[in-house]
Amino acid sequence: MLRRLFDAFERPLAAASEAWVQSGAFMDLLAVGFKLQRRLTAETRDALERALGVWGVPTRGDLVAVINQLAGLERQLRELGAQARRREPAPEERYPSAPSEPALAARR
Amino acid sequence: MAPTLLERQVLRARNGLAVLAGENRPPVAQSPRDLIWRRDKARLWRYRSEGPRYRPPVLIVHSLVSKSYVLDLLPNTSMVRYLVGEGFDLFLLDWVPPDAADAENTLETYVEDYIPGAIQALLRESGAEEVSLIGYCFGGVLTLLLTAGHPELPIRNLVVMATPCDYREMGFMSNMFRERRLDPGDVIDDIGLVPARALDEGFQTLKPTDQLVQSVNLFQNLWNDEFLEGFLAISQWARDQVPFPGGVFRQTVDVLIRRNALAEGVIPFGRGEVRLADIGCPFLNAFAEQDGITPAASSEPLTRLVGSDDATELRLESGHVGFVAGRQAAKVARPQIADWIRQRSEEL
Repeated sequence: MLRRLFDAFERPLAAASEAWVQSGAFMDLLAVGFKLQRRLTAETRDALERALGVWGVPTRGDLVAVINQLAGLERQLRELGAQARRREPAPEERYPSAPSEPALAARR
Repeated sequence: MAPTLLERQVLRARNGLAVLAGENRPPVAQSPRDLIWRRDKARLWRYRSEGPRYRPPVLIVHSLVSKSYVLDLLPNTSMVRYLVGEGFDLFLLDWVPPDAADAENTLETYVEDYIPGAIQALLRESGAEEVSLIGYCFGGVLTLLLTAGHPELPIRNLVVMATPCDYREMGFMSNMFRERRLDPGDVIDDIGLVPARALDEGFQTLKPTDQLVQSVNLFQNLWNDEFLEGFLAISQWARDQVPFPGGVFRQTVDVLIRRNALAEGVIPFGRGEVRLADIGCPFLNAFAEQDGITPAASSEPLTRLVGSDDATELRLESGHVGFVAGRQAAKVARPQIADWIRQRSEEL
């Protein structure tokens, strides 16, 4: 009984809210809100980091810079690994059951 | 025998307190498996079985936007366990959640490097000469690009499940970028990833009253241990999003969303392009009518876009999660997918 009452209330609300979410007005509003929130967060963070920088305290920005440097090194290592793998046998040698070139051409 | 009203209230109180205390978290991903290959964040798992009855082996390529335990949620609703029980030699290509080192990954990183590497390892490990691929959600996009762009790979069959194709039909999240209300840079963070939180909030916005309905469903069935276990497992998975590599996201927005290249059938890729019409192997396109994340209208065109003479459509009456876990999955999706692959495999 209570569930039927809830469903009778929720279903039209769900339909209306899902349609509203898909509307241009909602998406415009959401995009502006999202960008505003991001900008405010960034500006607050910058101000805080400048203040912390005066005292020589490491900030989130410093940490992100280190993370990105380490990530860059890891990517270089991966690229070296990939170069080594590219010197391995060609695909047709790795996959002996692969169709021959004429068969591939026919398939295309 | 069904519990009396009083018994239900007692069970509801007991389970409610356990949920509030964070107890009775269902153990997920219980199927025994072995790690057989790894490269960077890619992991290839082989599920243990009593000996496969069909060849070639089956490789599931998981999505980049969620965790793979949805495929092995609970023993009685596990797609993985079902396929192993049906006699398939099952492998899963899974991704450890990306970090800053993966931020510049592109679709090519997965399609040209990780997946071919995993297939090579699978063939070596199993002694097979071919493989059947299953791509789930965004994993389906990866398998489509792979099969279309790598005809030299010995792919016997291709199954895609809940895989987006026409991004005009993908709804609110896609439209935000397609209509340039947002650019990829607006959601990519300082280390180059789309945060998991952004994806979670996006999915939740699709159905604003969903949280309320879920809470009511939970309260209504709180006395039912079986319901509760399934509910908690699916809720845990739905909130357990992973970050998305910024490089792949930029490409997804530019190529898949704004150019709608999959629906056009020609996808700019690597130094050239790949054509879905080049997919000549048997193809199964499985999608769900009530899928709010990958709507059926988005997946539907794939069946006619591939070049295969043996292209089949499997339309299910379920949602995105109910596709691999739930009653529809158990009664329809899993048996039909398994039958389709079995008919295109050899019995050992």
